Order: sequence, then structure tokens, then C-alpha cells
Amino acid sequence: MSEMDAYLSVFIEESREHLQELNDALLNLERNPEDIESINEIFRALHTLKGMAGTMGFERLTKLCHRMEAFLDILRKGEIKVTPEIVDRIFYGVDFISQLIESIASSGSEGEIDVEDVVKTFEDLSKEETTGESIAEEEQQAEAETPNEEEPGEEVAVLRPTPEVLDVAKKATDQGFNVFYVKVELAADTALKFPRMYMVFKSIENNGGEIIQTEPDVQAIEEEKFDRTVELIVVTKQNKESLQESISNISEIERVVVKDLKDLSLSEKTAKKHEKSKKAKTDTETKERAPTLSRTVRVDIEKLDTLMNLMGELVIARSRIVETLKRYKVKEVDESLAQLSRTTLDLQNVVMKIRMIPVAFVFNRFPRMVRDLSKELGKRVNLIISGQETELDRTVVDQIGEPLVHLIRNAIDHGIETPEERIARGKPAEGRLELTARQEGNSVIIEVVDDGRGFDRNAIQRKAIERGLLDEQTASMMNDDEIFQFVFHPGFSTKEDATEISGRGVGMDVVKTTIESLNGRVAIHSEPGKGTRVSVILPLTLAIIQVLLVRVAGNIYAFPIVSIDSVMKISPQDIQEIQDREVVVSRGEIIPVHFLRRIFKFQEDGNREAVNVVVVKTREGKRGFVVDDLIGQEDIVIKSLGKLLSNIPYFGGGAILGDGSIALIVDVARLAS
Amino acid sequence: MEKSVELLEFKIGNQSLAFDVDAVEMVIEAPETTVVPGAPDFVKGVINLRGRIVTVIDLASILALDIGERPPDQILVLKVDGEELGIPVHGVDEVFTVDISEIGTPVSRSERYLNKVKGIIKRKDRLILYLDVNKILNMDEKEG
Amino acid sequence: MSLKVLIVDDAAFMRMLLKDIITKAGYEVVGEASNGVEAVQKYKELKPDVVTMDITMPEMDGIQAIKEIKKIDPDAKVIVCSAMGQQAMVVEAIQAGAKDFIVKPFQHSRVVEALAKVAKG
Repeated sequence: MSEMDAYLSVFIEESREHLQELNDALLNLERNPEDIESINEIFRALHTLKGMAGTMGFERLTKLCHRMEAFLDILRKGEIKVTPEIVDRIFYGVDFISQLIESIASSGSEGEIDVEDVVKTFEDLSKEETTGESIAEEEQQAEAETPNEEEPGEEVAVLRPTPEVLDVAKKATDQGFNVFYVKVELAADTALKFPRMYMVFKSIENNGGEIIQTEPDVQAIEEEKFDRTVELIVVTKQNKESLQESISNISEIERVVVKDLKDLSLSEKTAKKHEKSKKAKTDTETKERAPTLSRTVRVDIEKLDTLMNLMGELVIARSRIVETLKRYKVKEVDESLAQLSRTTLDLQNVVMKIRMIPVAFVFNRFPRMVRDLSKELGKRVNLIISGQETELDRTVVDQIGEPLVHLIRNAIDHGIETPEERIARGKPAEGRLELTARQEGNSVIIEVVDDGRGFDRNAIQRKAIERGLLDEQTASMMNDDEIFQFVFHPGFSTKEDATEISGRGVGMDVVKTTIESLNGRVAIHSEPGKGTRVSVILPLTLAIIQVLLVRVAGNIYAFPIVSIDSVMKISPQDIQEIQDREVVVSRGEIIPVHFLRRIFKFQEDGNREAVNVVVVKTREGKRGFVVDDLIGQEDIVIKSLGKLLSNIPYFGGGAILGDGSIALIVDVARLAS
Repeated sequence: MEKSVELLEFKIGNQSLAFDVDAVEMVIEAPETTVVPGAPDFVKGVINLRGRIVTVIDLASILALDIGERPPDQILVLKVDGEELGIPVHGVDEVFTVDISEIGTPVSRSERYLNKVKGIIKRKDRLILYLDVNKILNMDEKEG
Repeated sequence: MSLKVLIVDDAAFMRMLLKDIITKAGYEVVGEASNGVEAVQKYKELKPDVVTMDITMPEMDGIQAIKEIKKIDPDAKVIVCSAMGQQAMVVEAIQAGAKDFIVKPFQHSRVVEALAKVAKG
């Protein structure tokens, strides 16, 4: 990787992060048009993007960000009121930024994307309101800024009053004193900073004032451990203007800001955020940060995969040693072997953890999507996201996005009613859409819950029968979830007027295929008129799973433990034939059974006294698979079978066992159908 | 265009074949092959290659070559499209350089050769089929 | 009316330099002293509007001199001239009643700013 490539990848990654911030802040602004904080955030994100793009020489991106930033500045100054139209315009602009970044990500250049129109939009918007102020002038000014410079005019307070100070301040106010927040900035070339600040202190004290808090603390000021700025909280009889003037009169004071302490709250929030983002950049500790800003070291994905593979081989080598040594019973190595086993296990856990990333990486894009969709469909949707810090294997997170998009689209398009319809049904006009994630044992459950019209069992059933997917009799025996699962059938849609959004049933089948390929499953609960809950249950990690190893005709196969219901040892006579199907009855339950030898086209073995049945749970119910022998439970590292075998019907991967042989991992869902 | 190519000559049954030497990653003694039920016919199975699972394809059946009684004892590991593929062979002969002009146009014995054979090389007493690594798996053109 | 300045420094070179800056700024240098004792004497004698006072001097140092001058005239306006690294002494001088300080090597503008501010206050 060349140095420039390395920069580029960092640029792209960071740009995407800023894009996410932009979208989040915009959504906030849309909800709270008066929220200056959101405007500031958008401004800052644009400013940073502009600087980054400028450094990398992406001219169109720079230009667009610059124009938008200039417009945001106008909003910030309150010269224009934030209206829904304005928010739309900004969203529109952000989309262009997004396109440019994606083009850069895929081709390294800004491609064919034309930004002149959108740039002009913002130019015009700015012009409308800033008559008298010349754009050109403003432009020059803005261009003169260097990317890393602190935003002009931005008052950022780092100081946060301690509870004690607030207490003192309150008492002082009650006694008729003024309590001010004072920010003193020294001239850039101030030679003796402490004596200078000492003069400030002395001036305040000589005027009968008292300094009750400083930032940085007094010792740091004495040791001159500050850049140019010192913040103070002052209790004084002086009024604001006189305090300001007396400090300004001191030499080498570049700037003095005096504010009432009570006015600090807003900028205080800014400071927290500001600090946060600063910290995120400098990679220091902070626990309270949002999941997206988790402390990161960027690691090439390939390296991670290599690490995973090496780990797998280490696990295997260990089991080989264990197996070999079993034969020799060497006592001396027992202890160190146990140690090795423990360490390997720990190491394995750590490596697995490294691969885990929060689902926030996927969830982040949904607020924007939900907004756009509901707008387009004339619906009102309140999206509530929770559990975005839940972690999943990187591979899963990478692939779960698309299925979730389909589920959310479906919920908004088919589930949530129009405001009028909702009111008519006695529901609040605004629909509720929840997106949650949580870990339960070895699974992560992601749910999409809406309070819309719910699934119509009869309609789905009718359609399934129409399509020949189901007969009346079977249908009557199926529970709701089983019926609902038909919506995942390719080409299945119950809504007559298929919309552009959810398409004609296209997509929902993708949901199921993708999730099953991740060893997960989907469950649906729905009540007509009340809403729908779609639960996606995924394994926590993909790479290492627990399996039951079985033998069939001399070959070893692995059943993922998660999908196993039970195992039974039966005699061949226990298998009965009902309606051309072979079944066994276990605890009153009829379980269809399949002979793996037959499915796999091995020679059948007719003269066995007892056979083993592995009973698995599938969406069609329980299924039994007859195998020759059960070998035992083991943790295995899943390996891909490669492109050529990616579409074969029975197996989802392979594993290399302790003796170097290969066990194919059974894809239970597909094997059963 | 280069004037000559460097090839690796090997045998399946009595037939001499060759690949571009660059496409061949390694030659190994044939390990135990695990059959994969449900896999396409031309897939012989999978092998454990240093901890990786590598698909072994049956070139003999793809090209309808007679391999006789003796099972292949070696496996050529190719890298095709970033993926490793194993091909069982009856021995690897040598690496040789051949002038492009010496490569003859394949005379099609059958459809299945046509798109997989880059040319025919006469070498000493043998006729070598020069195969296109990237096309040996073009199964969609395969009949039936 | 032009501001009358007394320059106190033990180094003739520094006095020359300061005199030049101050004169060019339009103020009047009414006298020079090369140590604290001399400074106190000259202050009594000349009644300058502003004194520029070096800290490190023989006989009597600048801080002591400020204290003496303040005894004579509590409203005396003294600007301390310090070198880099003399934080503690500068603070001491301010505690003793100095109105401002300037740091060597002198920057023209800083000297003028200090004089103007002190004269005003």
C-alpha cells in the first residue's frame, strides 16, 4: 500500500464518519429546528470535511463543503430561520457529499459527479439572505482559513463549574454579587505567561473580585502549562463591562470574553462534545462515548482474517498434541498441556472479540433512511433505536445491513399506516418503529417492531395456496409464525399495489437467505391492527462454532449445536411410514426423519441394530437425521469451502479436525427442505 | 506481446498437458480427499492444504480423459481467480519454454476442448494440450 | 503633554535601546539610572510619569527599588523590565506595585503598548 493509498483509506473512513455525524445532526435539526447545537455540529462536520477534502485535492468536494459551510454559518448567526425546506436542501447537499465520497472510495476520484447545480443552490440560498455582504468577500475569508484552525467565532468553554463552585456562585448571587465566566486569551507571543495571568488575577482582586475556579488549575497556570487561554469563574461587584475593560487594559491580552455564568450551559455542552470529538481523534480514554466513536486502531481486515486463521490452526495443533499424548500417557506434560489449553482458549476468545464490532455500524444509517422513506410515503414514523452497542462478528455486521433495510422498508411501507388511517383507527398519527439489538446467550437478537396494521394471516395463507406453496389442510395445521414465514418466499407479496419501496416481494427472500447463510433465523410475531415484530436471531460469532460431530459411511459431518434439538438412539423398527414419509414418534411428537446415507447418496447400511438420530429445529418444525454414529461435541473453526462449493445444497462450510481430516458442516435449514 | 511462454508439463493418464507455470502454486502428494455430497460432478472433493480447505476438481472427467487403472498420485495446486484449486495428476514432467509460434491451433475433437485449450504443442514424441487455467471451469459451455 | 520617562538599567546598551524606542514613540526620556539606589534618587528628583525598571541590578535590585519608590509616591507607575525565565521575580515586582512588565529582548510595539497603558491607567 503506497503512502497516498494509506491516506486515502483513512480519508474515506473518516469522511464516512463525518457524513454520519452530518446525517445525525441534520435529523436532530429537523426535529428541533431551533437547536443551535445541531447547526454547530453540521457546520463543524462540513468544515472538517472541507479541510480534509482540500488536503487531498478533491476540488468538487471541497467546493461543495465550503458552500454549504458558508450557508450553515448564516443559519448559525440566525440570519435565516431553519425550515423543513432548508433541512431538505441540506440533506440534498449531504447526499452529494456522500456520492462524492463513495466515488472516491470506489475509484479514487470524484468521477463524473457534477456539483455545480447543488453548489449554486447553496450560493443562491446564501445570497437571498445576505444582501449587502459580498459572497466573494466571504469566500476569500473562508478560503483563508486553514483546515485545522479553530472555527472562528466559536466560543468553546472547557471549564465546567464544579458543584461546590456552583454552590458558592449561587450564594454570591443571592448576596448581590455578579458571577461571571471569564475567558482570557493571551497574545500569541506572550513571553511570560504566568506573570501576565497574575496581573489579570490581581486586577480582578484589586477590584474587589474573587476567582473561585480556573481552567486549567492554578498550579498549571503557575507552571505555565497552558496554551494561551485561561478560563475563570469570578465573583465580583464589578459589572460585566467594567470587568471586561479592566482585564482588556492589561498588556498582551488578546481577547477577553465575559459571560454570566448562567449563560454558560449551552456552550458547556458544546465543550463536552468538542472535547469528545477531540478525544476521539487523539485516541484517549473515554467511556461515555457513543459506540460509533469507540477507541479504535485501524487494522486491515485481511490481517484480522489471517489472525483468525492462524488462531484456528493453533487450536487444531493443540488438539493434535492432546490426541497424540493421550496414547502415551506422559504425566509430566499434563500440567503444561492444561496450561496450553487454557491459554489457547483465552487467546481464541480475545481474537473473537477483536472481530466484534457494535451493530451501531449498521444501525447508524437507518434514521436517515426512515426519514426519507416516511416522507416519501406520507407517513409519520418515530424511529426508536436501542442496543446499538451490542457487538457482533464483523462478518455478520457486514452482511446484516441489507436484510435490515428490507425489514425496515417493509415495516414502513406495509406495516405503518398513513396518519389519517391511524387516527381513524384510534392510534396516534405518528407510527412507532423500534429497532433493537441485544445479546442473549450465544445469540444476538435484532428486532424490528412496528405498531402498524400487522400481518394478515388469511391473506398470506390465501396467497400461498394460490401460488401452490401450500394446501388448505397443511395450512390449517400451521401456526401463525409458520404462515408468516411465507412472506420470505421468493416473489411473494400480499400488497396489491406493489410500491417502488418494497418492490414486488423482491427483497424479503433475500432477508431469509442472508440470515440463514449467517447461521441465523427469523421469527415473526404479528397481531392484526396492532403491529409486527420481526426477530432476527444471529449467532454471536461465526468463525468458531460448537458442533456435534457424526459419522456417516466413514465420513465425518458436523451439526451446529445451536440448531440441534436432541439426539436419540432408536432401532430401525421405530421408524414408521406415514403418508409416504418416514417418521419417528418421540414423546408424542411426530418427527420426519431422513437418512443421511440416502441423501448423500452413499451405500445404505441395512443391517444395523440401532441408529442414531440427530433432531434439529427448522422453520418447518423438527426434523430427524439418521447417522451411523455420534462422535461428540467440539469447537470448530469454520472455513469456507470456496466459490465452487458455495452453492451446494447441504453444507455451509468445513472444518479441519484434530487429525487433519475435514468435517463438512451441515446446513440444517437446506438439508431439511 | 511476449514471444514465448513458460509452461509446466504434466500427465493425466497417458495424455500430456500443460499450464502456464505462473498459474501453478505447488505440486503436492495427493492427500486423502473428502467427498462433498451434492457437489457438481467435476468436483472430486476437498482436501486439507495446510489448514485451508481446497476444492479438488476432476480435470480428467472434464476433458473426458482416460486415466486407466492407476489413481492420480499428485495434486497440482493452481491459483485461479484468487482461489486455490487442486487437480489430481499422474506426475509432473518438467517446466519448459516454448515459442508462441510453435503453438498450434487446437483441432477440436469435441466442444469441451475448444474453449479450454489454448493450443497444441509438439514436443519430442508428444502432443501436449496447452490448457487455459481460467477456462477449465467454464462449465456453462459444457454439454448437458 | 509628553510623558516623562525614567529609564533604570545597569546596562548602558539596554538604556540606549529603550531610550531610542521610547523617544521614537513620542515620549520624553527625562533621566537614566544604573542601579536601584540611583533610581530612587532620580525619582525624587525628576518626578517622572513612568519608570522602566530592570530587575537584576547591583546596589539595590529593581524590586527593592519599586518598594522604595512606592514609599515616596504610592501612585508611582513602574514598568518592570525582565528577562525570560524571571517569572517569580516579575510576580514579586507586581506584588510590590509594578503596573506592567516588558520582556527582553524588547519588542518595540510591546514597549509602546505598555507605556501607553500605564500612562492611561
